[in-house]
Formats: sequence, structure tokens, C-alpha cells
Amino acid sequence: MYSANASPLRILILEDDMIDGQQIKRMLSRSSLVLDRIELTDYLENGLQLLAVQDLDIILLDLNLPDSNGLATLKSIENTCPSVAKIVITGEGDEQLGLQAVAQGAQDYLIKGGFDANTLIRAIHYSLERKKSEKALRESKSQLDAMLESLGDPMIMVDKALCIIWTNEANTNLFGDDAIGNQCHMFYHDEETPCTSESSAIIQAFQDGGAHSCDALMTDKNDRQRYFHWTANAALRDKEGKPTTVIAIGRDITDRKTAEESIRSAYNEVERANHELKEMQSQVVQSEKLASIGQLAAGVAHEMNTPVGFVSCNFETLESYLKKILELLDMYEVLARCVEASDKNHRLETLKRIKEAKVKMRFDEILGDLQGLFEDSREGLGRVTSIIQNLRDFSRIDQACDLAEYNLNEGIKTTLTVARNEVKYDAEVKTEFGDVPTVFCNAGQINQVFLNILVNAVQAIRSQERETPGTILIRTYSTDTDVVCEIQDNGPGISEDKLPRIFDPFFTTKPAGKGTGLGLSVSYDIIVNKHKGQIWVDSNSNEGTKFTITLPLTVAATDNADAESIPAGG
Amino acid sequence: MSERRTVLFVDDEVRLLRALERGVADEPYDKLFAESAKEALMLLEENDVQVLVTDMRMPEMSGLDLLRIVKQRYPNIVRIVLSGYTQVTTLLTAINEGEIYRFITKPWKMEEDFRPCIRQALEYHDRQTERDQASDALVTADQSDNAD
Ligand SMILES: Nc1ncnc2c1ncn2[C@@H]1O[C@H](COP(=O)(O)OP(=O)(O)OP(=O)(O)O)[C@@H](O)[C@H]1O
Ligand SMILES: [Mg+2]
Repeated sequence: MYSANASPLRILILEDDMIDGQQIKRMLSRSSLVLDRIELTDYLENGLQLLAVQDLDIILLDLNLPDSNGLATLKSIENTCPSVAKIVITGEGDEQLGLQAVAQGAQDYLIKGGFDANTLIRAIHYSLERKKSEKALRESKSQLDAMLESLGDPMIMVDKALCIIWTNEANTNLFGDDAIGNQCHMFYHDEETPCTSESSAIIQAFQDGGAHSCDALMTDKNDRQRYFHWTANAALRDKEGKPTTVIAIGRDITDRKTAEESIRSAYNEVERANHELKEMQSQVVQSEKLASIGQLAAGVAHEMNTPVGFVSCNFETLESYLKKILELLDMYEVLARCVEASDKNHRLETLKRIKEAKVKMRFDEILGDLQGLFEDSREGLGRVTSIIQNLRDFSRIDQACDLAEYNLNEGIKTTLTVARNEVKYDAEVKTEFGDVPTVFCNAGQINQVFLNILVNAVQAIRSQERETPGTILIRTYSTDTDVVCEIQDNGPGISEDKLPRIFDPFFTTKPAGKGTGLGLSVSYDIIVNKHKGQIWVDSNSNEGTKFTITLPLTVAATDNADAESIPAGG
Repeated sequence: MSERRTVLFVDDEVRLLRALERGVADEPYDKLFAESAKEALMLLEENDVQVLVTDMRMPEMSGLDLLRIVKQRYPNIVRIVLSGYTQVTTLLTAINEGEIYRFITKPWKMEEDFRPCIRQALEYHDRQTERDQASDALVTADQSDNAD
């Protein structure tokens, strides 16, 4: 079996009894062993010297030498040349010592005088073989150790009682060198009681033999707080397969945790910003409303300036008429006095003056004009009154609460009057009003939407610089679930690439100062978010654009049938 | 100046024209009234007009377009805008492109602003014509003495 070992053996016999030594030497040289050389010496000192200069394969060692006794002898040899196989030779009845020697590094032992050549040869074979596998084992263990030590992550082995039975260097470096023998909760967390099974991967691994992991905040030996991600798995198992030891490896995830934390706080920041943005948006809705009312104001002002212009002009004229009439009246007063005094001459003269004055001031024309002046002025004042009325209806500034019954057709009429001046020069508006039930909504906001869409349509038509005015068709109707309004223009349409973006805030194709790009995004917010309705667009380039708006009936204020009745329990 | 002078008023609102008519009834010039830019151009072809007063915003042809045409065809007519539309941009274009003599805003004061303004416009027109005639004479006489 041992013949595989081809190289000749180099043997040292350390024996103070030279007769015994010679005998062993003889046994060896007569054996089948292939030998290089056999050294024989009696003092430990000499043996050690020899070992220091020669490579040997095996030592036959008598423990009791003139300069050393017992296990100490083995120890000295072991220290000098741990890699050489050793067979201890003990005295009769000292088997106990032989066993101890084997436990402390010898590969086998022989009882002095109690062995023959065969036993000796067998012991040598056995010891060499054993030494070889020990060496292989030690090598692979030291590889494993080196591996575990080079591992930057702390690693521990824990027994069933949660006592730490092994740690690697990283663990020692991080948490201190007093781990072994301590229960892990004691060592790591300074806790008397073990961690809960939910929080400890080690306990979970003992429970079901599977791999588990957990995150834990630990304090290292320098009192720094670090996050570790521990993975625990069964290392050794009993006959039933239950884990008897668990190995756990921890990974420092402090950086990740910190990153997570900063991500979380960044996320919170984003959340907050988002929230603020939403609030801002609703403010934008408000200010946009103001802006478009401001924009309208210019139009409305023009609409009012004309009637106010001619009414005030007429008023001034009327004043001058009145002056003339009073002048005449004075003369008639004089005339009356003449009649009273029967002063004929003076009377005739006054009459003549009156006649002349009438001609000069074109009194007949004034009289003839008065009625027209009043009619024109009344019409002008009426126009101003209705503009103001419509403005009020439009923005519902007198409406106490936000939501109220709303008639779609009335809302559109009001909006059209308000926008009349903006529209009339560029487009003809046709309306097809259907029978629509009232819905519950914020009239000011809904009118705002119609105005935005109407103004967009007019601006689109105007941009074409066409010969004839465009057409805007407004249709209303209702379905089982909604009231619907369509606003269609025969303007330039919206090209396919722009279509998906028109509801985006600040998307505009209009020159700076003309469009903010908020009209439609605000409209969308009002219809979809605030009123749970829908708004969409159909458009083909060169064929015009159609916006459709629906408002749900579900919150319709009253049923047509019992519009008059008071709701029960109301 | 002994010749007859004529002022043309243009506005798409007939009631406004009637109010103007009342307001200038006693003024010493002939008055013409047009309800659209087109009508105004027709009247200009048939009449000798010295001053034009026009609204800006009118259907079909705007006041600005009318002013451009008038400036080109009848450069001697003094042009006045009477408008409620006071947006700066419109105003600037009107002044820059139409070379406006005055801009009167609606509503206006007849006694204080409107009538004096038109009288001044007429005087301005007369002075302008005199100067043109004089400079024409000078141009024929001496090319170098043409400065303003
Ligand atoms: N009826 C339409 N025809 C053609 N294009 C349209 C029409 N309606 C909207 N658009 C396009 O959609 C864009 C966005 O419209 P939106 O009303 O949101 O902003 P805006 O009109 O540009 O500016 P603002 O309304 O703030 O003054 C417009 O710039 C225009 O290009
Ligand atoms: Mg818009």
C-alpha cells in the first residue's frame, strides 16, 4: 500500500539506550523499506541539531532522554520540525503517555521491547500516511483560515446555546477579541436575553435549518454605530438534520443605509415639493383666471368704451341743447311779460328775436334730434348694463358657495356675450343648444373653460389671416350620464406632433406675450380634476379642431321631474 | 383758407357716428360719416377730405389697414384715431405704421378734446400744404434750399 511513496526514507532514531537503538536500526535496514539513511543519537540536544541541518521524514522518539523527559521531549521536537512524522517509544505500562503523545502531535506510539519488525514497519507506514493527510488537512485549513481572515466581513459560528464558538479576524477587528464563549446577544448587543426570533437570522436558522438574513444596528468596539446585514445558515447538523451550529456572516451596509436614508429624505423632499407644486397649481388656476379676465378686460373695455363714448358725447350735446333751450325759455319769459303788460311793440320785437334765435340755433333740428339722442343713449346704457351683468354672471362673483346648479346653455350664452368683442371680428358663432339638465358645478370655472377654448378657436382662426370670417359651432346635448358641449372651429387645426402636448402647462405655439400656454392645462384641471368630467380634442390639420367637454350628471342638483319638490329630510 | 374743408369720421358703430354728428354739428367744416373702412375709401374717392378720424377695431378691414392705405393714397390727409382699444402694442403700430397725428381714446370729451383736436388738425393740414407748396416752389427755384 505504501509502496506508492517512491522516495527513499530518511529516519532519525532518538534513543538513549544504544542497544535498543541499534536493534531498531537493524530491524529497519532488514525490512522492505527503501531507505536513504538512518541517524541514531541519544541526546535531545544532538537530535535537535541534526534536525536543524537535515531534512528527515520520520523520527522514532524515546521520550526519556538524558537531557529531556516525557512529553516535553515531544514538544521540543514538535516545535523544531512540525512537518516530520513522529512515533513515540514509551516504556512498558506507559500506554497512557503514548496516547497523550498522539494527542499532542505524535502520529503513533510503540511500547519499548513490545514490538517486532512488522509492527515497526506498519507503524512507520501508518505515521507517514497520517502525517501526510494531516499536512494536507492543515494546508486546506490554513487556506480556509486565510480565506476567512482575508474576508473583510465579520463571521461567527454559534452553537445551540447561542454561544460564539468561532470568529474570524474581521469580527475581532470590528467588535473586539472577547467573542468566544459569549452568547451573541450578550457580545453584540449587551443584552441579557436573546433577540426575538423575528429579528435574529441566527435564531431563525436554528429553528428551520434554512438560510436567513436580518439587518441590525450594531456598535463596534470604537463605539461607532454601523448597520450590518447578517446572513445565517446552518453549519453542522445532528442526525435528524437539525442544526447544531450556525454560521453567520455580516456585511456592513452603513453606506447603503445612509444612502437609503438620504434617498428617503430626498423622496420626502420631492413629495413636499410635489405637494407645494400642486398648491401652486391651484393658485395658478386662480391667477390664470385673473389673467384671462385681465386679458378679457381689454376686450370688455373696448366693448364698453364705445357705448360709454357715445352716451357721454350725447350727454355733452344734451347739455349744449339745454343751454340753448334755456336761452329760448328766457326769451319766452320776456314774451310772457310783454303779453301781460300788453306791450305790443316789445312783444313783436321779442317774437322776432325768438324766431331769429331759433333759426340760429337750429332749434327744429334740436327738437327733432332729441328723441334719437335719448334712444341711442338708452341703448348704449343698456349695453353697458348687460356687459356688467354678464361679467358678473361669468365670474359669479356674487356666488356664495363654489358649487351650484348650472345650466350649460346659459353658461355658454354668458361666455359668448363676454367674449363677443374678442370673437366678432374673426368668426361667426353658431349655436345648437340641446335640452340639457342642470348640473352641479362651479359656474365661474366652467365658463372659464369655455372662454379659454373659444378664445383659442378665435386666435387659431385669426392666425390664418383669411379673407372671410371663420365659423365656430357650439353644440350641447346630454347623454344618460353626462351633459356634453362641443366647440368646433374651422381654423388651421392642430398638427399630430403637437396634439399630445396641448394640455401640458406652458405649451404654446403663440408668440411670447400672446400665449402663456396655460389655458388648456387649467381647463383640464377644472374639468377633469375638479369636476370629474372629461375633455378631449379631435383635430385634423387644415380641417379645424373640435373640443368636447363632458360634465357628469351624477351630482346633478335635481331631477327634472321633481325640480319643485323639496327633498325629503332636507 | 377760403376753400371748404371736410372731415371724415369712420366707426362701425352707427350710434357713435350719430353722437359725433351731434357733437360737431356747429363746427365750421363739412362732415362725412362711414360705417366701415370700405365705405370710407369710397367716400375718399369722391370727396376732397382733409382730416380722417377712424376707429381701430372694425370687422372686415381694420382701422390700421385703412390708415395704411390712406397714408399711401392720400398722404396729405391728417389721420386721427378714435379708439377704446388702448393696448400699447396696437397703439405703437398705429403710430409707427399709420403716422397718426393724434390718438383720442373712447370715451372722449367733445368740448375739451375732440373739437379742438380736429380744429388743430385742420390748421396743421393747412400749414402743411402751405409749406409743401412753398418748398415745391423753392425746389424748382433752388435745389439746395430745400431744408426743413
Ligand atoms: N382651436 C385650436 N386650433 C388650433 N390650435 C389650438 C387650438 N386650441 C389650442 N391650440 C393649440 O394649443 C396650444 C395650447 O393652448 P392653450 O390654451 O393651453 O395655451 P395658449 O392659448 O397658447 O396660451 P393662453 O391660453 O395661456 O393664452 C396653443 O398654443 C395652440 O397651439
Ligand atoms: Mg389659450
